[in-house]
Amino acid sequence: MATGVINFKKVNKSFDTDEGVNHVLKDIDLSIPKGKIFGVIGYSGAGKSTLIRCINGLEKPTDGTVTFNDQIVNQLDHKSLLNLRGKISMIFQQFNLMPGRTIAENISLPIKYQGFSKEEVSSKVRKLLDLVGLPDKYSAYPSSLSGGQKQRIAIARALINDPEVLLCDEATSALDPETTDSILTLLKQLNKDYGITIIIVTHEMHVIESICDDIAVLDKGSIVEQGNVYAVFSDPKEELTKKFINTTSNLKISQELVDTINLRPGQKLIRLSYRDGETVTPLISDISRQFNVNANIIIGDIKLIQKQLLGGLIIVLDGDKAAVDSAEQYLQQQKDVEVEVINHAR
Amino acid sequence: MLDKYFPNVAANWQAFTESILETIEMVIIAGLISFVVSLLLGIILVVTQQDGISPNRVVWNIIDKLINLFRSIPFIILIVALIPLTTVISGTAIGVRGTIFPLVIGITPFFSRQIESALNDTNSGLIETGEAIGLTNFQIIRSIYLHESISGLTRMTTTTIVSLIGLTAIVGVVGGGGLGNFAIQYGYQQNQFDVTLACIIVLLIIVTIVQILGTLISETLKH
Repeated sequence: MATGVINFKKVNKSFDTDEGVNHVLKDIDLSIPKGKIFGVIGYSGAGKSTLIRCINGLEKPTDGTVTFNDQIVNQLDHKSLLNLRGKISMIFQQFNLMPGRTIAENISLPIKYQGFSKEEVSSKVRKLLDLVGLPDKYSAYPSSLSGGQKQRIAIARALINDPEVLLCDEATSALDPETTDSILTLLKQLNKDYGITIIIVTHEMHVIESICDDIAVLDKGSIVEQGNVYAVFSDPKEELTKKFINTTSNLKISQELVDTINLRPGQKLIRLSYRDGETVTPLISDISRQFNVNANIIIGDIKLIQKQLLGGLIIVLDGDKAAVDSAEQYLQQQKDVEVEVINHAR
Repeated sequence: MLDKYFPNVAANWQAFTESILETIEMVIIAGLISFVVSLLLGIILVVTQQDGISPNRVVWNIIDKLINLFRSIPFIILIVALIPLTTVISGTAIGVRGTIFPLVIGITPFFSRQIESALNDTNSGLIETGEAIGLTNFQIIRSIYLHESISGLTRMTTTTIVSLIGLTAIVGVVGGGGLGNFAIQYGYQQNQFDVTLACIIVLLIIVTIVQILGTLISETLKH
């Protein structure tokens, strides 16, 4: 298990509060593979922020160990910890740019005291500005930038030390969907081009399904499910995981919507969920041909996750009662597809 | 005109102008010394507080309680209480020289609190960012706390200078120099009301200039 660039071993974290001890992280075991994009999802208060802050030592576990390569982060002295933070960068939900500094000064703040010449700093900054697509903002102040631009600058600042790991603390949660996607694209590009390991904590399932390779689901301080994103998405074990997945799925239709679909006698409203992204059987044509039924697709939601198909259809089966029943039975027999009858006409 | 409306001021013109200069001198010297001390205390308070970058309960408590103690003593009583110490430190307890020490002691607790408050206005996310990008505590103080609160510090300093001008007038009561002394000596003890009025006008002008300058600088430093 302990083969990743970052490993958590039996990590616990608790805070003493007026109301007693608040156990924020419970027995966290986690291995984050090098060069991957690792997502941690959970509701607010699940301990995501504390978890990610244990990686760069902003928080110290009460017990257990967090290792980066072969260093035990929570046992480093202050000086080594500062060095470590050159290799593990971080971006934040609120961007945290210094309002009193220009963009160039913001980006170069991490190396301000490292003895680089003005020319070196300036050329580094310009390279990064090009990389994040904002070459003309060199002398601007943060207040003149949009949220997405601010996060790009924060990413540039995070990259100035050539880090091995980038921590993203709800980095897209303050952005609109379109801007979120552009930031995610940039992160994916950094991961691909420079091999930077990226760790994202978020409450947005969309972020996970867009760019993550692996996922851990955090609930009240414990990891309840983890693994490859496709594996978890296609076969979620825990209620919470299912809940999160449903937030991005159109297949979970409300009772209200079900009621609006008037089924005529003999019709059945059925949800088909694909489980294996590699086989795409022409199920709909199969059943219409074999059983002489009509399959009317009401909703289709199929997405590409890690280059594999995931999703399903909501269909109305229509035809002779016996034919509809045998078509349904046929569907049930397909092992790659999960079949659920949502409603049928009386 | 001066002779007509302010006869007693005109009669003591030299003493009047001297007292104006003395007031300015006291404000500048006491202000500068207090600024340095207060900045130091303010920074220590912010850094050592419970969620500061280097929490230290003992240090924080000592400074916090000392500031509260001195703030609770009315200035006029403080001056009198300090006389023995002032004599040792300044060699005298009267005149401009004798007022600097009590002025510094009198204004520093207030000034420290003002600076503490300006520094604490710095968004905690920015401080955390400073830690996350690997800055040392000293670098965080310099590049984030001080740099980002410079506008707030200017505003607080302006407020403090205005208060300090008030204090310089109070030391006049117990033998200090300046406009306070002038107003007590002539305006009060000799019942020359025009002197009191003239002192008020001059103080008003000084305070207005300080306030306008402070606001102007604070605004230009904002981004």
